[in-house]
Amino acid sequence: MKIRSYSIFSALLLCVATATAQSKKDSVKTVMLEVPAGLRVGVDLTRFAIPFFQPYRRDATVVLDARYNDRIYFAADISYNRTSHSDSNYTYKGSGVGISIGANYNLLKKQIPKENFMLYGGFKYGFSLFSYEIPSYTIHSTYWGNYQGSMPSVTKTGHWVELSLGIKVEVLKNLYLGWSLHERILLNSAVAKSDFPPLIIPGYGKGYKGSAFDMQYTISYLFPMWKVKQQMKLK
Amino acid sequence: MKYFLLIACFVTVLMACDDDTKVCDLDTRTEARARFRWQDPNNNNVEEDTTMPKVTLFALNKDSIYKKQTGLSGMQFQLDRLTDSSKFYFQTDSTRIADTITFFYTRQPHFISAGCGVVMYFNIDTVYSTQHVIKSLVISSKQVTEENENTIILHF
Repeated sequence: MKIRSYSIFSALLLCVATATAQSKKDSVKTVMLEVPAGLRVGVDLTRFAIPFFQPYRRDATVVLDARYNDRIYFAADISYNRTSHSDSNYTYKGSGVGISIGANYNLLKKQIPKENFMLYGGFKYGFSLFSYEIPSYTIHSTYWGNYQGSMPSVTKTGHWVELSLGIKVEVLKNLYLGWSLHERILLNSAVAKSDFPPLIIPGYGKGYKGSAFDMQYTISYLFPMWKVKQQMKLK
Repeated sequence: MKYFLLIACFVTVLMACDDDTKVCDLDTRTEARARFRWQDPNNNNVEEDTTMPKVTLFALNKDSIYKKQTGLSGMQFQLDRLTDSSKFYFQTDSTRIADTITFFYTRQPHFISAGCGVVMYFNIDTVYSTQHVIKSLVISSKQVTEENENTIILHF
């Protein structure tokens, strides 16, 4: 009798649990919403901090992205660099521009209609046009005497691919803050291995290295221009 | 694990921000190297490394690089950065006749790092020596860079 009562009670519990789960499942509705999208324009604030660490560099980077659909954002970075260095070994002058173009993929599933967070992975191709010169350099030798020379101005290009991972958060209406990590791999590494490699490749980083790691901290503003359909799960 | 990743990211970002022009952590010496070899008559004329009793070496009209230095099995010396040849006076012992060794080469300035600047690479064309004490000379590496490879082998 005792066993029978226990079995009935267990069966009832199972039914209640199943019913509750079913009602929860039914309450999550998937809807398609049209959300504002457009061109997001920003600047990389870390470029303004670089001269404190690397006084020979002056950089500026504008970041752009435009939402294509639910998850994909087309993205571009436009960079400018001017480099000027002088010490007892050599003097260096260089300047140029770089652009990287690609796409970011939003890894977050959106669940709240007014939530505009983004955790993304990205891939870009980068191109840079720059010129530099070494107006004077000295090879020191106490035995033979110092050798002095110079390298005239040359114009070169840099090509690289870039992987990135980052977040963007809407802090005020249409105003976003974000940070991201970037790993860049130079495709024409002959530039970095040449007898006189550039100190900086604009948009890429240290021009005498085959790969460059970088961080961005961006502030950007979204100019709503169109709408995209977005899948949303509403509770 | 997540703390390790955070620290790794932080260190990598700091390294990316590093001022490389302030630090020279490479060996900037680009020097030719010579090694002494001889055929040992007590060992079936097998060729082996040897040491010289009192080595003197200097570039003509310059100060000594080695002055009666004992027990050397080789030498390390700079080539002239200002011209495409260097001529050295070389004596293995103060009682023996000196030889001269002449290097002909092309020079190639090479930027090695933001902190170290430019060094001179040499590409050896030919090396001659008189044969008073030196029996023969072999070029073992034509490139003289900061890698410090052996440039010539002197046979006695």
